[in-house]
Amino acid sequence: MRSIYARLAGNALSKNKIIYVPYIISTIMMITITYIIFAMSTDPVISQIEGGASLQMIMVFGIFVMYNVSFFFLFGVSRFVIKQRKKELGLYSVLGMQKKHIIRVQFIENLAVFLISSISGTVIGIVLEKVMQLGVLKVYHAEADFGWDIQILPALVNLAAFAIFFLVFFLINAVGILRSNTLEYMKEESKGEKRPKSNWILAIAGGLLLGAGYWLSFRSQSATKALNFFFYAVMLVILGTLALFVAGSITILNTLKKNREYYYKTSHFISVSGMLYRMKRNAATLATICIFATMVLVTLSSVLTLYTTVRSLAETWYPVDFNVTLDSSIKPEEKNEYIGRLRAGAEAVGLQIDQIVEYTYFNEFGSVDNGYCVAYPNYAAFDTSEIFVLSLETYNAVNGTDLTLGENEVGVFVNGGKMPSGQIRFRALDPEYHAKPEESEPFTIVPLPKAPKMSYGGSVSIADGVYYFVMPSEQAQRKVGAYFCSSSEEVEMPRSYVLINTSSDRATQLRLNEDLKNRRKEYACWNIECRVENIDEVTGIYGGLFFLGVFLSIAFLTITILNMYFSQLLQGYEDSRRFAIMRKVGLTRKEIKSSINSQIVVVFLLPLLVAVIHTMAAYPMVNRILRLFGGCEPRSFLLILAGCIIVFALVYTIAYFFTRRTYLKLVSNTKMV
Amino acid sequence: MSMLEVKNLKKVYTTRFGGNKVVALQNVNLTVERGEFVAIMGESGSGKTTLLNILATLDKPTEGEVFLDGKKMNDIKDKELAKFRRERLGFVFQEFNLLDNFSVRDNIYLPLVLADVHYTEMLSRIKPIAAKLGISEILDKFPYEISGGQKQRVAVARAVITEPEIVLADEPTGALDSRSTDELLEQFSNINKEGQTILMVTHSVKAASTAGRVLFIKDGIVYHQIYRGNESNSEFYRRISDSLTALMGDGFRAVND
Repeated sequence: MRSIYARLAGNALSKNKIIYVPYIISTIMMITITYIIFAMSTDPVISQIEGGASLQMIMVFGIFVMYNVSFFFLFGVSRFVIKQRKKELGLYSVLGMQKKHIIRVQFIENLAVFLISSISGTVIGIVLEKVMQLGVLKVYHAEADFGWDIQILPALVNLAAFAIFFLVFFLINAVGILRSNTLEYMKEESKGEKRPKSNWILAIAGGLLLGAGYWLSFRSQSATKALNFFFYAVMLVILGTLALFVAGSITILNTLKKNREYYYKTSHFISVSGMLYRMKRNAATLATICIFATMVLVTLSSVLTLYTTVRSLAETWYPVDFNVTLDSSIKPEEKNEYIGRLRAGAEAVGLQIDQIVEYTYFNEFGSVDNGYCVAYPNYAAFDTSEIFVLSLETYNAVNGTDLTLGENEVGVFVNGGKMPSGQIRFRALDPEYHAKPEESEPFTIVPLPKAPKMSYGGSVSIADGVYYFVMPSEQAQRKVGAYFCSSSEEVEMPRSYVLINTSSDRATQLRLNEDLKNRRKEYACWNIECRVENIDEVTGIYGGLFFLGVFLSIAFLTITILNMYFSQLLQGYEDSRRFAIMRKVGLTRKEIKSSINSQIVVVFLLPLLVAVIHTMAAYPMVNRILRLFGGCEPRSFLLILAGCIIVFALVYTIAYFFTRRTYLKLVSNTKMV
Repeated sequence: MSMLEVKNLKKVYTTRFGGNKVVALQNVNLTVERGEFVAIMGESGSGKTTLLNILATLDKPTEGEVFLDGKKMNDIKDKELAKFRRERLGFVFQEFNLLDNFSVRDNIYLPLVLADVHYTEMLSRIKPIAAKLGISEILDKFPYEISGGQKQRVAVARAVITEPEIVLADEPTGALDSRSTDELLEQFSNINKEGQTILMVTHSVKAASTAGRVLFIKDGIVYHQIYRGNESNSEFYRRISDSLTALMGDGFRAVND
């Protein structure tokens, strides 16, 4: 037999559908989202694929972010639900229920909400995770496995986490019930609200913080600076947005209110004072929505840009099919023997060799400016570029060209930096960053049409640009090296690289790669780069980033919309009483509706508009950072950004119409009599 | 011509599924002359609030007609009702119905703002009214900062600032303590002395005794009315009391039967 408490709880749930349905839906969504991220981060199928492990590392961060967001969001919603029910609970108490009985009813209600949402959330999560898994595999061009593998551990841990959340909500609520008395409870709903006060200092501070954030974005000339200051810029903008929404809006509205000619007009009177209270209550929510929207826009457009440009990126990073770094212990006279071994090994796996070249270069971090190319002892300093110094023979050999240079000329190719002009000298800084007195003779700069088709170590380094200096002869290269390189060993016995280009298929190339890796010692390989493998890895990582970015964007968008929905729902409950009074005093339904409309539109548009402005302001900075990760063209980023804004605005508008409908229903439901 | 004329008013409420019909008002006839202060008395459920709501155009009669200043209110289109209400009627409710997000001053200004009155005009109108009602000091406070008696006086100020033809008051003293009740009733009678027509619904004998005429309503029918004539408040109070006793008593019911 069902107890009276269970019946009361069931009754409460079905009577308060308008509150509980969105509450349960949001909980389901949270549980689904966290489960998916959790399960994907431990998914054995994903960890097996190339780059999958690094993707899963990123996802672990995602989990923490999502748990944090879920907790605070659901906490807010649960407070709202309780607030709506206070009168009812007070009535129970008047009718003679003890506090422990009320708490018991509340417990059953909470339990029901938790069970419904956790079961549905987990089931939906399992289905969606499988879909996501297949999606990731597709992005990675990997084989898909269509079996069902339910991951018990993530599901259980996730459920436990949400069970704890709900327990905390319940306990806080129970303490609230124990500490209040009945009359207080009944009155809670109609408590007066303090009048919103202007806060010029906070408003101005908000403006300054925001300005500083924008300034950092516009003024970050170099990519490394942009990357270093990105975090600060984000923090400044978040704080500035919060302060501006909270204090700025109220200060502006209060100023409008003081202008009596303006304020005492039918169209302004109700809207201004309505907005004042709306902003006081919702400013923080709106600021959060605005920040989330900005995050979604920036993340989505960045990952999309990276993903669409990753192929052409990989081509510039890995211009040769194989690049083998020979062991430094190999003496110059032994080189030919090892090249012979490589050639034999390649032929043994059936690889067609189109080109095989041994080459050397000097590589330092430094900067190119004011007629000097300066090497740094380490690359901790800002504004560093990667600098390669090679000889004309090497350049011609790897590119298959027959370029010539005069004795005092230097061929220069720049990737992602500024092309120097006139003459250039080479020098270095000592470990304390003082310029060493020695410097090379000046060389006249001759711009080169193409970069040398050699691998530059294969790593994606955090540098503002890549400079290639092609010296007319090996002696000239060595002479410059003496001023430029950090160790004389590097100049005397530079490391040897061997590049192999082939027209064989992918499978054969991977075979050679396998063979080289298995017999490193015999080949005297210190490092092996296989272009096919590298491209897979890079597209994997960027594909994963893309996937995660899209997924997190959807998650944040969902939270944004739910946030909006609940804040308007809450507002609707409070406004319905006010609008009933206004109708009694003689406002027409039409006037009320237009006043409501203008207020809701502002509440909705403000975060969207500010988010778009934020995104625009972030554009220069993000664009520079993106170039750091692979020199995408600014045009494509701008286009993708515009596309993201349009899609976002569209989804947001649909959400707006839904919310507006609910709000109007609440407000117009109140009878005048 | 009377200020307000009600002819053969009938109001029938039908329950949602069309089953039971509840007669809230039946064959009500009454007139209110310009400058009169009329109280309508009755128990809860007697139909007095229904009557007031119909007079306030918040509700529509099933049958019968209401004339305000010779104009038939039934004919006013829905669109014009709100305008009609705010220009020609003033309201005072039991629950004050002040907007908590407006200051006292703005609450009083509300109907004027809706009528597009210029700000300087509002300022000159509020001064004498606020002084008369003793709320000049609290004009810039908010409703949650003032007492119930003060709230009701603010509501009265809001009702009279548009210079309406008639003020409709629904249990204006219902939520007030006895001191605030005395003050409010005195102010009502002062306003009435200055020529304001007032129609008040109440079940408080004390409130009714400030009026110039009292109508008794029971089960949707107006049974009886008494005029003050030259009586003092306390004499009139006694007469109202007696009438009420008779109205509640068996004798009265016998007549009715």
